[in-house]
Amino acid sequence: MSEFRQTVPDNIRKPVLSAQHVTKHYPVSGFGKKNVVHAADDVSLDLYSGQVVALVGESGSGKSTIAKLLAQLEPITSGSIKLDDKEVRVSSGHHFRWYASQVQMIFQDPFGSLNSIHTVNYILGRALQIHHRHLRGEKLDKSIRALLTRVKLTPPERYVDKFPHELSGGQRQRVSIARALAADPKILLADEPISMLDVSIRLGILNLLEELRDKDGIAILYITHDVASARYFADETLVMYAGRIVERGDSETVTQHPAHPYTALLVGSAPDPDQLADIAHAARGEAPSLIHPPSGCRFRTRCPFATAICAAKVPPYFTSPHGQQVACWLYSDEPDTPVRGGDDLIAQMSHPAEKTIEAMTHNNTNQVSQ
Amino acid sequence: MENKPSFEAEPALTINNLSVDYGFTDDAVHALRNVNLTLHKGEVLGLAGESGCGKSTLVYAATRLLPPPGLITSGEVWVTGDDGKQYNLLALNDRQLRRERWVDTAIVFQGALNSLNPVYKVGYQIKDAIKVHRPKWSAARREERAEELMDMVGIAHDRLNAYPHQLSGGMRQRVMIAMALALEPKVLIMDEPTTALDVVMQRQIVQQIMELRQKLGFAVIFITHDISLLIEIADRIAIMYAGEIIEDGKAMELYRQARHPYTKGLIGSFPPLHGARKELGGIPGSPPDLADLPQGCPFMARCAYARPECASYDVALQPTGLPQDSVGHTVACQLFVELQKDGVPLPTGLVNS
Repeated sequence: MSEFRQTVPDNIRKPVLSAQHVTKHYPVSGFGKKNVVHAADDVSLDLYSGQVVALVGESGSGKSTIAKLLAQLEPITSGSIKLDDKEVRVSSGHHFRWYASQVQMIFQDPFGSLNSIHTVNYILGRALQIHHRHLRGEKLDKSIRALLTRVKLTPPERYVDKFPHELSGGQRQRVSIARALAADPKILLADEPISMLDVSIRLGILNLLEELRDKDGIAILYITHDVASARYFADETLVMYAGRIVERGDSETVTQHPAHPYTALLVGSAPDPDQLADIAHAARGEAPSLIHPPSGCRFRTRCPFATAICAAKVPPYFTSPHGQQVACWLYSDEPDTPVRGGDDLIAQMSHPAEKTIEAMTHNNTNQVSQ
Repeated sequence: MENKPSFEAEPALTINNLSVDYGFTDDAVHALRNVNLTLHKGEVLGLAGESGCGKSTLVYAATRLLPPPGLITSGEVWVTGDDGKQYNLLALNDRQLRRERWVDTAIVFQGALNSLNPVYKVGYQIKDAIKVHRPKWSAARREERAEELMDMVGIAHDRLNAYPHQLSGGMRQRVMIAMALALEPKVLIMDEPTTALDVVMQRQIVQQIMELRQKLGFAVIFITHDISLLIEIADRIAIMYAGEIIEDGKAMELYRQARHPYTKGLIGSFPPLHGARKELGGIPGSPPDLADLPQGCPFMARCAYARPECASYDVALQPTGLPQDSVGHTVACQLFVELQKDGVPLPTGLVNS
């Protein structure tokens, strides 16, 4: 996919940004009780230059939390975040500004993330001045125009004096990408950058990000709930469920041969006009509460394969037959672990035995009434 | 869903020449222009388009729920009532309208959290609707009906005593569906019922609706921007763009043989989950400003096949005229007018996929 990536030999590739065993707990206050929301537990991921990593999961799975932690907008509870192999924990405002010049975020809602009382000229000019302090006058104007050209808002003259409300959703998202690029970052964290946009202009934004990856070698974390767009856009895909990463691997493998039952459910539930037969008709249940997450594997309450070990022990990462890393006891050789009926998980999720459907429905009612 | 039940050709809801403006003055936004649409009995009709194309305006106008400054400037909406007689919904007085609503047509709105009253239990809210329309029913009978409805959508009875905030997003949406079905309407309108939900939950809700439809036989208008979902569930799909319906045809035919350049672009905007990975482009440009519509075809500025004649063309749906398309497949595009009048061949990209 990415030409940039292929020119770099594998053994000297180092991640530009990496999260190691990152955990984030948000405290919730109640009547004397001290509970926490387990928003992210033991999450590790690496971002490489010129590579897109997709983080896929349903709402509430903790994917946006990961973006906020990587951008150092929130302090992590435990674990470490490494930028260029050095551990970074941002403390002061000055330090944060330095960090932000390397790691930039693109937000979901282009209607909310741009200040409506300023023009495009001001929005971009301000970002440029913050990160390049000596930029003034004509040079600044030139940089603003260059940024607009880079995000395909051409001719730039037409857009510089516009206010955000005068732009369409796609154009606004381009402006917010340009604002992120003003810092000249090595890493872009894109938190659902296309989900608020009109269907017909979504691909335009994805293709723009793809170009930034290929031409400038920017590392991109693409957070989404849409598996199909992850397959289209990302080199590697991580699947997140209830605060944990349950599967990681090459995007094509993850979407075509899902190894974790949750990924199979996700892929099988996505509408696909070309494969109407392969739909996970047994889809039941909802994501668990993250204040009291299920013990062991968090997907076990909805999983048709679950056995006793799934409740007892958190599954480590196993390597699936297709090569992805998967946190599921199905792939363990130990005794007492659940057994797969074959390699095609989606089909097994589509037509599981009656008993398992009953079990899942039962689990679901229990869990919601908590 | 391979074996879709065949629907009767009798209309359940017919929309004729419906036009809606927002505002009265010269700068009024023409949100809907001369829309014609027929929903047959027992049919699932998908209405797809981008935000701002008028799909919600269409159904709100057709059910007289349009808030000011929305103004219906022309048109008729014929509904087939319980007795089989048709009446024009736009000509009803307030009392008649109140009696008709919920009994003949019911709506499931997009945001379930915003549509349910947070200070009443959901059971009360379901029974409330029944109480108004079936005043002679006893309290016990209403309770029984409410329980029956909860069974139908797969929620435990004790949830009737829950407040909306105690239910999950998916359950709330199910309660909305149960409520809409309380009086067994002939027509169920669903305005993006699954947009706020995850794919897994979306799959469950959609399945539920389809099962209920099989059982109860109501007709559905399903509004969404997710055309790949529609292809799966709908019998027929109408594509809207800038306040007009620009293509209307059987679901699978529309997917495989999309005729309007916009429909082609829209279908091509969804990256496929299976099959070959291909470079996709989406559609260049953005939808037009409805307050300042260009002359002629509204899609002209973004269309790869645009030609000078498009600027003077008054868009109206007409049969595609291609032998491989079925009779009901209609399209509003200048290219197809030329094909039929002068035999000008279509550009190769549009003939077949």
